[in-house]
Amino acid sequence: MPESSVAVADDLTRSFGPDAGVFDLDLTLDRGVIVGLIGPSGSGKTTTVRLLTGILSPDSGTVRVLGEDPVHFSRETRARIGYMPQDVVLYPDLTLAENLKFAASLYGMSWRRRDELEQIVDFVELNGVMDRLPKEASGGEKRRVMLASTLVHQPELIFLDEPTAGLDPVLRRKLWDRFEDLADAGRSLLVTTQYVGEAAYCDLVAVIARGRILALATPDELRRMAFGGEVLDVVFVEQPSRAMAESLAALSAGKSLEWLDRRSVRIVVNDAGTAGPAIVKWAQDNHVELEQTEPYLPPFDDVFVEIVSDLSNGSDQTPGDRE
Amino acid sequence: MSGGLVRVWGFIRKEIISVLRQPRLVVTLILGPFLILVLFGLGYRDRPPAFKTELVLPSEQAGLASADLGEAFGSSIELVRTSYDAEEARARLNRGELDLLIIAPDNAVETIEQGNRADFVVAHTEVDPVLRATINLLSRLSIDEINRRVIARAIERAQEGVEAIDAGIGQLRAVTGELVTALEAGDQQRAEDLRADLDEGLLGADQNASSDALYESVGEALGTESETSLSNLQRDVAEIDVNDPSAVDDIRRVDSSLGELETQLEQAQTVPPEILVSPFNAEISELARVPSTPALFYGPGALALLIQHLAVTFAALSLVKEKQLGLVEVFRVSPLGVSEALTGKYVAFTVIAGAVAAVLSGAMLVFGARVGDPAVFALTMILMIIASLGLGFLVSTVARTDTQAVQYSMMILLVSIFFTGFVLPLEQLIAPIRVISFLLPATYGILALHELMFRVAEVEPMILGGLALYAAVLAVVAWWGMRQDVAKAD
Repeated sequence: MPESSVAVADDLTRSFGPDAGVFDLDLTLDRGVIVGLIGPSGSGKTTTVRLLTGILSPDSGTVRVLGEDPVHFSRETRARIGYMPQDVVLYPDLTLAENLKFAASLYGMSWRRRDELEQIVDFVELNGVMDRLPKEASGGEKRRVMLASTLVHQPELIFLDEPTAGLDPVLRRKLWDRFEDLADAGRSLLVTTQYVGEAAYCDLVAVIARGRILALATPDELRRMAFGGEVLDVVFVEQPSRAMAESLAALSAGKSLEWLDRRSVRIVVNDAGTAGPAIVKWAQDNHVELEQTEPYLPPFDDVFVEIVSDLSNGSDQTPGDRE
Repeated sequence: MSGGLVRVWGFIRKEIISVLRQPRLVVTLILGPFLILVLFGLGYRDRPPAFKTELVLPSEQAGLASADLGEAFGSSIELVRTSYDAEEARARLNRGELDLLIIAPDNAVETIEQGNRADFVVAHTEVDPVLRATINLLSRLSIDEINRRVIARAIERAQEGVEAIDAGIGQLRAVTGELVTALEAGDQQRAEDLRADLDEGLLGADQNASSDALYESVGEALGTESETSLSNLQRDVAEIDVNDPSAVDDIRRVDSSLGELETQLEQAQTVPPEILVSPFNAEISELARVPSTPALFYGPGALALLIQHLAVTFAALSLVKEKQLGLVEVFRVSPLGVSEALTGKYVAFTVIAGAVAAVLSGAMLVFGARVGDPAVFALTMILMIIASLGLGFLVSTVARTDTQAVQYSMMILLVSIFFTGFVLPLEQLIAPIRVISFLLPATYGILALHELMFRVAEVEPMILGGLALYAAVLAVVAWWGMRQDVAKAD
């Protein structure tokens, strides 16, 4: 395992049935990065996290986390890990503060270390609500208490299983800001989510479906992988002839044009930086007047659909293989 | 504080807060058992219920006094009706109008004269084993009482005859006096005539003396039977040779014996017949500190059962709840050791159950119970709580839901009611089944508490030693079981 890596899974398989579990999973998590594990419900995200934290043992393959086999983590190594499960797991009869203190005690932190506890409460913006029982708290507050419980001992490797599930967009954005703060502070995070749009906040995104990783790349790379290149929207002053537009397709990365309306087309190019001037030159050469040419960033929902649909269509190649 | 101690303390505090945060639960835990004990004490009668009874007499014995029989049956048999038709009475019994039916024997005198016992038939429809045993006992006691009354009446009549026998013996002693005088005077013929009169007189008296056998049997039972009896004297007199020089001494011995008999017969007239029928009485000396009420007797058992149930339920639900909430996953990833979690839970629940036990024990003291040596009492309760917690943790490793945990706990309570000696004495269980008893902490608790609270002797070290050993074994098994749940990867 390279020194820069905090977790490495190699050909990891844990099966609960023909299409349930994770299969042949390869994944590397480096220091100071956020890896997003994105996929639909039942795709194997939680199983992956459980394998990496030692909750589950693999059927085959190897996994090393902080240099150890998770199934046989030493107590010292466990103290370096933070884990936030998918479900809200709080004692219903303890207040949010008492739940947090109990979580701190699991890591040997005395309840008297108030400064650190107050810092983490500040970090998750829960001041003033910590005396509530879980039943009196909102879903977002409970999630944030769980996040605080996960981070209270300042772990260097953090596993967050769908931390933003069920939260409103504003709160989700805030939480991702916090995750970025942690990564900036040198912590490594593996975050699972069903919200495909959250891929944009990750340094590296693993798209997972049916227990297999379909793509593992940066968000930009993922877009390219999904659409075969970068996307430009070209708007003409007047509606061009079909033949004229088809000649523009010669500049694309091999894909046909997509008409957005009578004057606009969407074109996939290898490199938007060089394709832009080429399109302007094509317009001059063909006496066509352009209103504007601008890069289009497809939403990650579309990226995800594109990638997963390739698998559904029976393609043996992952989108990345096409490059 | 080291990390391990912090984790243990974290569990102690968490468990105690969780319980105290549920005031209704706390009130139920303390007041519930206390109210149960109080209600039991107020509602329990230590006397069997009076059985509504019909007595059926044969028509030809209509003279038999039903009032006398009713008195013989005692207060537990309430004679509500006397009739003469057994079939109609059986119908009333079957309809549930009666608890008991007693049918007096037909032709009792003839049956007895033929050398057979006459049967009183006691019929009932009771199925409860305790009440059936009570009816059997009451039946035997009643028939014994009737037998005693019959015999006492016979003795009373016999005593009336004893007076005549006594007078006859006085006459025989006069003959012995004359016989001695004749022998000393050397009048052999007169002496022989008098000896023959004496022989004949003794034979007649022996045949009439019905009480002689009774006295002999009493003497035999006491081990102080007398050599003297009319039949023996008659045999001695028949063997006397008036020509023998020792005849005077023999006659004087006979006279002396007759004197003894005369004294005994005088006593027989003065001793009441009921004493002669039941000459022995049982005097019971109770060395135990007998509780003043049945509730106080059952109090220690109820306390042991309640505390065991409390501890088993707490422990069983605690880990199951954590499994259901998904906290076990968090534990598994954290540096928490199973022994730390278990120690924290043991301490927390021992404190809670111990507090409940202290309150209940205090209430029992107020109501007149004694706890014996307070230190041994406290040690017994603590050991029993720890063993019960071990049992509960074991349950929690088997149960998957809190419903299952509660069901298993209730099952243990049910088993405990029958097998711990709370209701039935342990000695009434056969040895292989008694093994179950000693798998239940309350068995040790009840044994120890009974020794402490009711007996003068100290608690046998085997009881507390066995309980401590069992608690330790359960703790190890619980640790192993919890390790499978918490520490091992699935």
